[in-house]
Amino acid sequence: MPVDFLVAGGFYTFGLASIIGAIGLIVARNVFHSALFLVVTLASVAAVFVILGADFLAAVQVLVYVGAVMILILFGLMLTPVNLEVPHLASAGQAVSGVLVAGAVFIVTTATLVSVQWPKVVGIPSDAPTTEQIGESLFTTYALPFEIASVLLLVAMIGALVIAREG
Amino acid sequence: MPPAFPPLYPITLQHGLILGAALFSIGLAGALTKRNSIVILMAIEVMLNGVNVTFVAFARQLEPAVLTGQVFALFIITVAAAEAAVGLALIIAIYHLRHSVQIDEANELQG
Amino acid sequence: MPSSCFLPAFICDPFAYVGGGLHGALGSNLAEPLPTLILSVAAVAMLTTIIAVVVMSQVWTERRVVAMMQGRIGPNRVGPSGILQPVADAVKLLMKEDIVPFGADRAIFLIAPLIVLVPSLAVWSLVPWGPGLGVADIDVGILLVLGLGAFTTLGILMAGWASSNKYALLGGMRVAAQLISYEIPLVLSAMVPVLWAGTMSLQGIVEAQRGIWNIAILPVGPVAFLLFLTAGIAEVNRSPFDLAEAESEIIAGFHTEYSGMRFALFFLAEYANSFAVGAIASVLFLGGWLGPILPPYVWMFVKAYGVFLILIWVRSTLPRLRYDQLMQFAWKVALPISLATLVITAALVSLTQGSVA
Repeated sequence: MPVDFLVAGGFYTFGLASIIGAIGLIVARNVFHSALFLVVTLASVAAVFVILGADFLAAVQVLVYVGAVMILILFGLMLTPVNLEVPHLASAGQAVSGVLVAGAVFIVTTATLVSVQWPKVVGIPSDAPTTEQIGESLFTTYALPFEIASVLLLVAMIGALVIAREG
Repeated sequence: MPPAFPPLYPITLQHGLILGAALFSIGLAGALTKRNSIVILMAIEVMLNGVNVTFVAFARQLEPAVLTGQVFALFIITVAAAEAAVGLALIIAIYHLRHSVQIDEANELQG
Repeated sequence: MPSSCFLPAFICDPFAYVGGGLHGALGSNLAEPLPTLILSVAAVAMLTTIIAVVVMSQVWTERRVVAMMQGRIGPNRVGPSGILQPVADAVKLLMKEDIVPFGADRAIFLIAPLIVLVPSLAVWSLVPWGPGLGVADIDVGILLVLGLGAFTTLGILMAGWASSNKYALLGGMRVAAQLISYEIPLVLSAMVPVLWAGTMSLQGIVEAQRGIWNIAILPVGPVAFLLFLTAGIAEVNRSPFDLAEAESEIIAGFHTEYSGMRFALFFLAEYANSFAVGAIASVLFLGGWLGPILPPYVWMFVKAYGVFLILIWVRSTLPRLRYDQLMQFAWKVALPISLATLVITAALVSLTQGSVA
């Protein structure tokens, strides 16, 4: 089954790339480097979406997050002193306990994921285009969440303006 | 039943879920350990992406006909945008006050 | 074969003709995945070559046309009418020293030109050149094109930051702010043809214009086309929106510190992007490869080049905008108009085409 093999290869390549990007984001000392590692993660996740049959979501991910990363970089450059030597990590105790907590979360989650008996697949996973189906369910089954999401965006926009303005 | 790891090949539901969990945990570690609040926002984006991977894996492997998971992932992207907007506004407000975006310097409420 | 093409099959669709022949010849000797793989690699190599040739022709056209509009002659020494001037320029750039400035962020400085170039090449692979003729036709084509276009800007910001030069950094930050502002009207105006066609596939959008080109749909078509063209010029940082490399203010902006081949890559990407804007604008509003008599890919090329000529015309006519004018135009003029256009289009679609569900 060459197709299965390609899927597995792609999944491992981009999955690994996304994890490397995420780790690089934490390890990097510079905000700009962190942001570039974030780009690696986001692009790899978009590729994983394609492999998992979510083509529309992958395109949305690319389109939305490139602009978002750009804004984060701009803010990082404007608000972070470049020459000042400040430690990029919190105090040693907090750093160690933070990593421990995250590791514990990962171990517990993974142990649960592999031990649970997941229900059988209903139907066959398909790689057919998803745009039309997502659009239809957004305007029928999920019409109310859709409306609420749009109101949330409006509220967030106004809130952000008010907060940033008062200073 | 002892946890049994799925074989490396072919890709199943568990592989996607483990990738999602890994991204979520790394993002969590970043959010807990970094000092720069903008980098913390980025780490939170990584966590949300881990959740999205999980949703998409569920959508593919459990009910491929309905795509509920993908719709949820879309909503998460929307909420992430709102969160980033408010978060950056808060960072600007803190910067006006303290001329710094290091998160441990904003500690008035500590008493 | 399209009904509009009355010429022999070899001229109408040479790529399918040659590709099919080669596929048959290879298929008789090799197992199945191999011939497809070899031909795919060959197609990518061919596309890259075509891009390089088209960019050279663009450089020559732009310099000659601008010279004509300014009452000069333009390049006229290398080859007949100076047509080999771009080749000479390329050779000169390739032979120059590739300098990395002291204090630059070396890895990012070296990789930035590639981040700019690769997405602009990838956009070309999504352009439909005829019915079924194109490297890739995917269901979310237009979304991916817009996303890849934004990636180019990220590379420019990287170049500006890594140069460790204040003018380069200013150029990079200007590009980022400009992209964030102009991406919104760009996406909104690109959604007008999407709504009309009911699909985001570029082939589907072209097919939907068989009756009438999108630019002729009154009242929204011309407005959306102008908005798309304006925002597109801003996306590729061409005059009058070329504040990122405004030589009277910030030397050469983001590529101040670049030299030799890496500078040539920025140059290549800029022209490849300009042509891509022309191609996408023709797909969205001018009927793409639709047209009488001539084969589809010729029509596509002619339309895309025509839009590129408009870009040259705009460049030599309008002065560069001031920064606050740029922002004012994006947020106070382009955004409201594009929103209104989108709403009117939605109303028109539901009135004329009826409800889908």
